[in-house]
Amino acid sequence: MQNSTTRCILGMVGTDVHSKGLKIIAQVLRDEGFEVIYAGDHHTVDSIVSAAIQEDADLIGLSFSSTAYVDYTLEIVKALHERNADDIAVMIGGQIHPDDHKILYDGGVGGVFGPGFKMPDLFAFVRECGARRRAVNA
Amino acid sequence: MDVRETARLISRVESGDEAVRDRVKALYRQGGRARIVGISGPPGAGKSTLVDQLIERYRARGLRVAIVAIDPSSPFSGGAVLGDRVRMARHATDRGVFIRSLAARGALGGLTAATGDVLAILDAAGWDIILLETVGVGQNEVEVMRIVPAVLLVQNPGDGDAVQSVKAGTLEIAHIFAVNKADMAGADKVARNLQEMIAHKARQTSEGWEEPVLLTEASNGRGMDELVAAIDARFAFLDANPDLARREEKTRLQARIKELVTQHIHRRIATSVKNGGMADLLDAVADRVQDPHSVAETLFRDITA
Amino acid sequence: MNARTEVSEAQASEPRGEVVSLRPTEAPQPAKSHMGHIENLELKIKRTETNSGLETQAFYGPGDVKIDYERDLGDPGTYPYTRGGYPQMYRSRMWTLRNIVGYGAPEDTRDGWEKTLAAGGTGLDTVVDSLTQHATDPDHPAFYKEVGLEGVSLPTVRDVQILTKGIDPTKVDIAWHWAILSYPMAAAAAIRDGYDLAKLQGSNMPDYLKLNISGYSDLMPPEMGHKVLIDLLETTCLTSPKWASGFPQGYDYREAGATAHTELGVFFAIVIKTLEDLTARGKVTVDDIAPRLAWVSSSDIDFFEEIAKFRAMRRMWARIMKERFGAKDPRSMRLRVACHTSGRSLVYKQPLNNLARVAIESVAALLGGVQSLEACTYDEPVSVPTQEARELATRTQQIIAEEVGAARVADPLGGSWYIEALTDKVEAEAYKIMDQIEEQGGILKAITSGWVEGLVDKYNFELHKQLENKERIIIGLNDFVPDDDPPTRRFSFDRTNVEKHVRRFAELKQQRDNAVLNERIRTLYTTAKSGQNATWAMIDALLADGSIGEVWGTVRMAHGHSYDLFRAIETPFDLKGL
Repeated sequence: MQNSTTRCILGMVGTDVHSKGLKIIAQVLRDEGFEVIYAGDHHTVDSIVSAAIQEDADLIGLSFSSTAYVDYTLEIVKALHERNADDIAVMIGGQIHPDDHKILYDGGVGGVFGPGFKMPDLFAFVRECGARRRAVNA
Repeated sequence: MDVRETARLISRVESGDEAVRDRVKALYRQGGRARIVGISGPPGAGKSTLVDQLIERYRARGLRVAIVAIDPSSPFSGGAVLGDRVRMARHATDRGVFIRSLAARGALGGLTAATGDVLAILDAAGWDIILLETVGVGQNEVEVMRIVPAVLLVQNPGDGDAVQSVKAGTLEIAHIFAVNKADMAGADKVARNLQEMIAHKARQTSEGWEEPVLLTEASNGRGMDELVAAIDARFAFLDANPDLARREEKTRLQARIKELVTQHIHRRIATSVKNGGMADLLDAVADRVQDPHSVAETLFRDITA
Repeated sequence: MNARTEVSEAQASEPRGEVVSLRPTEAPQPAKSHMGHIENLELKIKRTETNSGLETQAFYGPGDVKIDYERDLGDPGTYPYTRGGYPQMYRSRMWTLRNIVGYGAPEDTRDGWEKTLAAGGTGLDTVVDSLTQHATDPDHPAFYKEVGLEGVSLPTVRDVQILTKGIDPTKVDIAWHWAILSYPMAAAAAIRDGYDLAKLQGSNMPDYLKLNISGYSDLMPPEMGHKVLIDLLETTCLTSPKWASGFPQGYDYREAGATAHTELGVFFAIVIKTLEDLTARGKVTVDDIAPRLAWVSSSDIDFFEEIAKFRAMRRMWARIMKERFGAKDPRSMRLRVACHTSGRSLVYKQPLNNLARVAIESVAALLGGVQSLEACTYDEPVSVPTQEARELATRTQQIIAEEVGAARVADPLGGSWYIEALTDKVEAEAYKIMDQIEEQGGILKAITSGWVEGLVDKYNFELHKQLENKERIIIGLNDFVPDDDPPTRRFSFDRTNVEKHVRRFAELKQQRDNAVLNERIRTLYTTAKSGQNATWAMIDALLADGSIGEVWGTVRMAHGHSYDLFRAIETPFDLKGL
């Protein structure tokens, strides 16, 4: 029951068409008890951030298989900050290269789930984001 | 109230946060301007596509549109995938559109109460049109439509759906019917069936209001102007018949208030009967030492004392 | 690979407050040894179904198949072409070894082409960046970051000319791995360079409907895609008879998660609908168009199933062309197949294993009788392929050609009871899919309703569960998973040319005769809107230096859709009064 009040919005930014993995993650998170807002693909930075704010998501999950993910992700973090939504965490998954982890974490990304990540780690992270925001709001 | 604040308030109301109760009370009293339209129907009828088209038309009129899209929660895990906003993605950057997805959150109940509060928040926040979209599968999802003055039921042209709607009770709560995907075989037949069922209804949904049955193809916009006109006509009807409108409003409010009272009772029971007290009571009834009525009377006395 | 931008500089100094972070708190450990330990392994079969879920027996014998050789198989090169398109198969003509080069600005890819030609490649291939694939210009406000990544940026005819400078397209076969506006762009470039379109060689992949079902359903509204495609095929057929259209293009749909029989079922439904509507117009007959098509397919990891699939594919094609469309020319009935091994089947961890996977998939394709083959590089899941990986992919094919003897005999598995039974089974399952599509009112309805894409979602979710339960094992993915990540070499290229290219594009928009272009755009709009064939109007607009975003945006508007896919920009042209 705890999980069901954690809201995670999943989406893809840019012209990447590989949304199949993200759909699986959406269902897997649902089966773990989380509420997933599936925002789909071909978002701009503005549209995914707007969606996250309207949905008051605890976190945004982004999936990438193209190589522009560092730029897009950091822009999203920046946009969240500019729109007073710093408390919405950002996690990314997909073809994330280990060399980019540092710049992503330094840039404010909370979780990086590249190839070979383990589901329990993902669940723990999502759960933690929900719990953290509930604690802040209480 | 900006978008962020609205969204956060909605979250707190959704999770039953009592701390915002006073705020919500005040907001209700400030509201009453927004036109609220409910859209329900079986899965696969194309509701979200239809809603997307409605948004386009209302925006063309300069109206600010809020959408609340309710999807069922998984009965097994309690989680949900809320995928309605994808169909309305083209409005994602329009600042005159606000889309919020809600999960029905199953056993926690109180969907009607929470939705009522969400509508009150959006109404007070200045949205001109509020579209409430639900999948008409469960009793909860059907019930929530009772709080809305204009209900649109969207049907598939496939067989059997018309029968389904009778079972679920949606026939009695809808003011407008749309058979979507009307280019498919069977659409005319479904429309005729609906017209017959409406003519033979035991009780009218809204006295003096004739429920239109429309054919639409939301995917290409056909029939959508007529649908908007039908929704306009519904509100015009209510404006032209203020006494009737008020009676109906009061009936709707009664439903909401009843559910709020029920929620209060449940909460009080939960807090007052602690430490396995409920389990003991249930044991007594199972052993036939006590009976269900007596236990209920005792509980009620305790919480209202 | 991504240069530090101003954004990241600023971000580095701003903490995000109370958000959760998984940033590792310890110092990174030195890389462990790459080799896992090797146990005494006892291999047990877990799965008796094929990759696509078809059940198989422990063995097959003569009682399991009824083969009518003449009716159902035929010799290679004989109807129904089950055993291969040509009597001598690879003895008379080796398969074309394709190696795709595409990145950055046109100059960058041209550079890559020169290297390919020097290394012995016989065909020139290119893939365009995702912006070009979406018919979106490199100055698009939301997606300019993606210019030149994973494909070459070709927004105007001038860019095609830069890429192909000095190459005679009537003599050299260029394969454009790209759908929207690929032929119009190639034709416009040829016109500008003074070549005869009637002699134009080359190929493209104009399957518009597959764009819809392989991951971005908004990209190509089905009704529009269908109409534009028929127009295009008609024009291509009549104008450039030597041009080959890689249609249908089943590769991306497979990679998204379709099974072998689903690929056949869905794409035969697309082919039938397309040819029906095309030939109904009366300008082009089935014997004009069918010989100019080639099926673009993948070769996935289930060796036997893929071979069966290619055989079933050819048999179904032959029969459909002859019986349904009344084809007379044997070349209409004989399907050619262009194959690319499956990228999806490759695994990120311990990527050298992918050399084995790709080799096996390549052999399957050849035993399946394909006419051209592109092998993935082993590092495909890790990064954009390095030069070394590319070379190994080419060598794999050469080893197969020279050492393995896979090309020596046509349809070597023909007559195997297993392969014949499996061919029959894949075919039967494909026909079931086609029936289901008919029940829904046809392929366009089945695509519009999301049913076709839904098949992929269903398969993916099943696969996910099977992998989680270990009902299905993929080495390096859910079993024998090494702890460490592959070595971190990445492909990178100097972005200088891309930056020049984007500036050059902006200048072109200023310097071209915008009045003439506006006229051509207006003509394009009215032509497309009236339902006439607008392919030539597209070419004319491109010749006036219209960009792909501008030309395609106008076509979209003519069909009642937004100018820009992403609704970030409106048409800059004057369409008043139309």
